[in-house]
Amino acid sequence: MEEKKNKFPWDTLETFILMMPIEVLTYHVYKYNDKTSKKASETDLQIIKSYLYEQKKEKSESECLKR
Amino acid sequence: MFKEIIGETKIAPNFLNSILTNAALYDMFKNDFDANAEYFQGIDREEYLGEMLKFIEDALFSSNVFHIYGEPEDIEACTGGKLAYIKRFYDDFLLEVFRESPEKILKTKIFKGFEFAYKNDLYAMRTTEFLKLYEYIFKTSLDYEGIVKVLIKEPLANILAGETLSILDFDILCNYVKNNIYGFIDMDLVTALLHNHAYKSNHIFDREVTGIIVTSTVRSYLEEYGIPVAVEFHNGLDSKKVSDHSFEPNTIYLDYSLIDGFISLNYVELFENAFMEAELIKIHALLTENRCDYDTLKVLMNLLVEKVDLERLFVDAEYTPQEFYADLKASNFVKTLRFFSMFGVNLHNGYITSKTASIEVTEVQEIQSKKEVSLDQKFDQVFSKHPNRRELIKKFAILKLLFNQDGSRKKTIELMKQSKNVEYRDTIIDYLHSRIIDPETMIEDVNDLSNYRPKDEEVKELVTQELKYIYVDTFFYSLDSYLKLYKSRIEVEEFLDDLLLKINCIKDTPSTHRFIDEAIFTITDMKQND
Repeated sequence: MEEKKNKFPWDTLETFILMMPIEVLTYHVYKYNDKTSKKASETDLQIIKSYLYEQKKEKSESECLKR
Repeated sequence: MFKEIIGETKIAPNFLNSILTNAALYDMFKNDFDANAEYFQGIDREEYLGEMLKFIEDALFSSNVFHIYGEPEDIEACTGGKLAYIKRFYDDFLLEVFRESPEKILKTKIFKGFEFAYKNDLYAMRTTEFLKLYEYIFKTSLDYEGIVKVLIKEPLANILAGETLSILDFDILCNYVKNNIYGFIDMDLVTALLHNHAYKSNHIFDREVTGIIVTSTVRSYLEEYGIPVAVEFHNGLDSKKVSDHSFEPNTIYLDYSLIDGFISLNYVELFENAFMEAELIKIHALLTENRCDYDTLKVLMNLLVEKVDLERLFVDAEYTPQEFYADLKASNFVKTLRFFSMFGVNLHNGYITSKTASIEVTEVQEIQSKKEVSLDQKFDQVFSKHPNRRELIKKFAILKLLFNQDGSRKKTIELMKQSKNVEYRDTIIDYLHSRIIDPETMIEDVNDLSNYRPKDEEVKELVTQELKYIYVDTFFYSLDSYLKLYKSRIEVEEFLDDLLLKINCIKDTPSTHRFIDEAIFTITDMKQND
């Protein structure tokens, strides 16, 4: 029987670098919670905080604009 | 009914074997079953038929012919004549059922078994006997492929169009997933099924369907790199691990508990583990095959950036570079969530909210994540100081292609000359398109490439293309400086969107130069009207 072709865009799943802020945040949240990796946890926490702070700021700005 | 529920039978396998292979007994079963009910232990004829079909299905997945003898030493000798018994059963009891109710074709594993036996040469597929029966089953007795196409046409079209499926259609698709002859399904069906699983409460898979979905996913992923893989599921794989892998042949082992977790709506863990094992198999395959391609370059770059000892990785069981594995695990987790978001299942927000609830949000100094820096740039910093870079260049074909023996990067003109060799051309094109170069290198490239006159038409075209990209990059450097200068006076985002649209329209056409002139004119015009 004829084999089927692979059409899925797997190249878009490459994560050597991360462009989307939510993915960067997910990456550091995962690392921060990963018990096997302790070394970078403080840096991870700082990055998480700065992302969350930015998110919070953006949210409150958009709410102000709505009003 | 009760026997079906508990899934047990009193019929011994060797008795089934006897009925199938002994002519007199088979005749008695076929023509005088009721008169000999006592001989057949008072068990229903339907139950016998079900068990005989299961017996044949199992036998087709093993070279242990009819599954009761032990592995044969000579497949051909052992197969001789046995297939006739299968054909007789197929003709006498199955063919009529399939002709009357074609949907039952998707409810049996007999066709999948024949394809499996054919591909794995379990029944001496080279023999005329096997090939004749194979042809008979799939083409002569019925048009297998044609019937399956008709059966799944509507349910498949509906699920791919995002429409709600009836339970009947969902069952047809699930039976197709379990019993189709390929042993896997296309990724468009995988993603549609996963989307449905996440959003339709009545579309819950069983273990077998889930197993084939995840197997199809990793198979498709590694096929992208030309790496074959098998996936096996086990119960209680290891007290500490729920997934594992082995090389040669590449096999991923997953614990059934992951599938059960998935069925209970924990989507991530199963795919996260499967992708992680697939990634390790991919890294191992690309490095050991020492391919001269862009994928191997990216893997090597990442390993060197993570300071992994390539001599010990996958060789020394004691060597577990923690930072590398921690990064790989986290990157793989992001990849899994991105995979789900590709078919509309967003799992990022829920994950972040659940894991950051206890973190106090305060303003902190912004730190750039290393995941935001391009791999090319990170690699440049690490590799230029790497103590063994000359050995690495000697050892890995892809590094040899792109670097000089002294460890410096080859100039673009050198790569263009190497691209005369068709074997390297695509890799060089991928590399040139991905790298980030500084303005000084751009100027040097323009000087070199403008004066280069290759005879090969394809190399000539490549040089022209590269020059166009350099011009576009140069323009963007200028644009970047311009925007920094006038940031406060123009609507930057709107302006960039407009430019991006124009670039995407014409970046690969001969009007690149005109585009740059026009873009500069647009900027100047905006500047005057601002």
